[in-house]
Amino acid sequence: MMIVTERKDDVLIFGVNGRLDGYAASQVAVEIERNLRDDDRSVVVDLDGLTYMSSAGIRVLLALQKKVKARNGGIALCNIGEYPKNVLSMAGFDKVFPTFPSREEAFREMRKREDSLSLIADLKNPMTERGSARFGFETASRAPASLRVQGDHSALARNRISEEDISAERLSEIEYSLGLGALGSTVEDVMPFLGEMMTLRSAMIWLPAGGHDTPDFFVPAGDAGEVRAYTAFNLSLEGAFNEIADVGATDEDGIALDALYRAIFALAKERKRDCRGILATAIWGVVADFKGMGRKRSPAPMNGDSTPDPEDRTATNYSGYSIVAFGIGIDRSADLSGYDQSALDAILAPQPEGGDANGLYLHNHGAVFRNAPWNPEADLIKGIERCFADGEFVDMRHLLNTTKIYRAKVGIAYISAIKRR
Amino acid sequence: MEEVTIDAAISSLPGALSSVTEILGRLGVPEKTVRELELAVDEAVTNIMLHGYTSLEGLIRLSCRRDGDMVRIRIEDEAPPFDPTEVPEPDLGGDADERPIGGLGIHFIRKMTDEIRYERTEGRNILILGKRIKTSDGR
Repeated sequence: MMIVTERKDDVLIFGVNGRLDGYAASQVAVEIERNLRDDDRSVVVDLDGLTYMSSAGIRVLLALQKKVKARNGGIALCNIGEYPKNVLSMAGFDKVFPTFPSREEAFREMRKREDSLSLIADLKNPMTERGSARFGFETASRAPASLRVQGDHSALARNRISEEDISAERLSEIEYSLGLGALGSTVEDVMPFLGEMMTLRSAMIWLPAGGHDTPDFFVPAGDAGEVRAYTAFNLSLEGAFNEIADVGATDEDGIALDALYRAIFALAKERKRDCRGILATAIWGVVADFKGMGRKRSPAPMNGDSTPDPEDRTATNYSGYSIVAFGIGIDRSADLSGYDQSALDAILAPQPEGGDANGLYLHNHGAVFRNAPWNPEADLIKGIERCFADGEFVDMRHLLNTTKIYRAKVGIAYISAIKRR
Repeated sequence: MEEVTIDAAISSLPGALSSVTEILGRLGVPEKTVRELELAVDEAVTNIMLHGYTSLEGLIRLSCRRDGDMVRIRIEDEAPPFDPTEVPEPDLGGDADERPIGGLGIHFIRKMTDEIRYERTEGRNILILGKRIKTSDGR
């Protein structure tokens, strides 16, 4: 058995030939899992040269079809030889899968579906192209949004955090936030574990410092009101997102986080939004290339040593997985004098990972999920909640600016003020 | 009678099937019949490997014999008792892509053979799949 995977114009094509017995079917299932992105909905399975197939092969095809159908997608089979055709008909499955005589015809059929789906989306929301992505904007809240800063980012960078710097935040009061923190019962308890954290809705996702490099994902059951996160630094959104952008990369490698922020700033200027140089965003999307890092050590000085740890944890890849993120972007070429200067300074710590690139300062944290299907019709909040409810949690990191995404719903808050706690 | 013993690991399946088809060929079983028996054996053996044994330790013994125009394949394993002949026929109609697909393997075994016998003896499952060689198939 041999399986060849190809991707063309948003259609995923698997060529399976040789013999598809119970063993080969298990290998095909692994290959499909490896290649199917969370936003894939149109799949062609080319059976040219497939000379043998058992019921295990049917199961694999059926599992694939069920998965993409749940996303309003479908599969098409082509070049079915006599043996697999007989097996399919013996099982009563010959009418279940749409079949085509050639790969070209199957591909055309799948393209037709993709075109009609994107046409519906375009009609709903006219798209503008910028950078290496297409953007469609929808107005959300008209109320001004602000950022609340707790702690001082530069103290973190110097690893000078003591117990007095830690604040206990109710999860219900930091709905969209990022920072450095931990869950635990007392300040003393959490000091060694302070790591990258984010809160989205009422969930807390964090990467505890210390031994294991294992991120943790916590959704309070029922009332989140009393659950507290201890944070050494926290940036949280007050107010709601002003716009929701539907973003699709035009480059097949995806769009990088810094290019995404740059495009949003440029489009805000063109569309005369009230953008004073600082944005907060929440993202639900599909990863093209994940570049993340996390602290290996809590920022509290250990044995008096407070030099930054060069061996920070990095993570990459996750192509095709779902991502949820929260972060901020600051356009340093803008006139930022209207913002509270000490609050701004508390945000703008030097970041060893190069948060400051060409006049753009970014600080974003993102969590990765698998098998939380992308649905272009779902809204941002539904998408985030679906990742939490249905997705398999994979990782959480501070996002490097080179992280790339294929597509996303991006909640944008044009920050009017920063407040310091 | 020729026999072959394999590990009950799914990766042993391709080798087992090629041994069985080779033996059937040597017994003078026509190509079409070999292909049909191969599918039946695949389904039975895959089922033992995936659902019968709970560890990878088990063995499966396959033996083939021909008595005139009857060819029989005997499949023996020491997994917990399982009688495939008691599995009900699957529902092959209706809104097909949503229907449950359990029982498809045994359905294939029934379609591909003329005789299925099961017995449990001395802690072994013994499944015998028989097929009549039709004279129109040659020989």
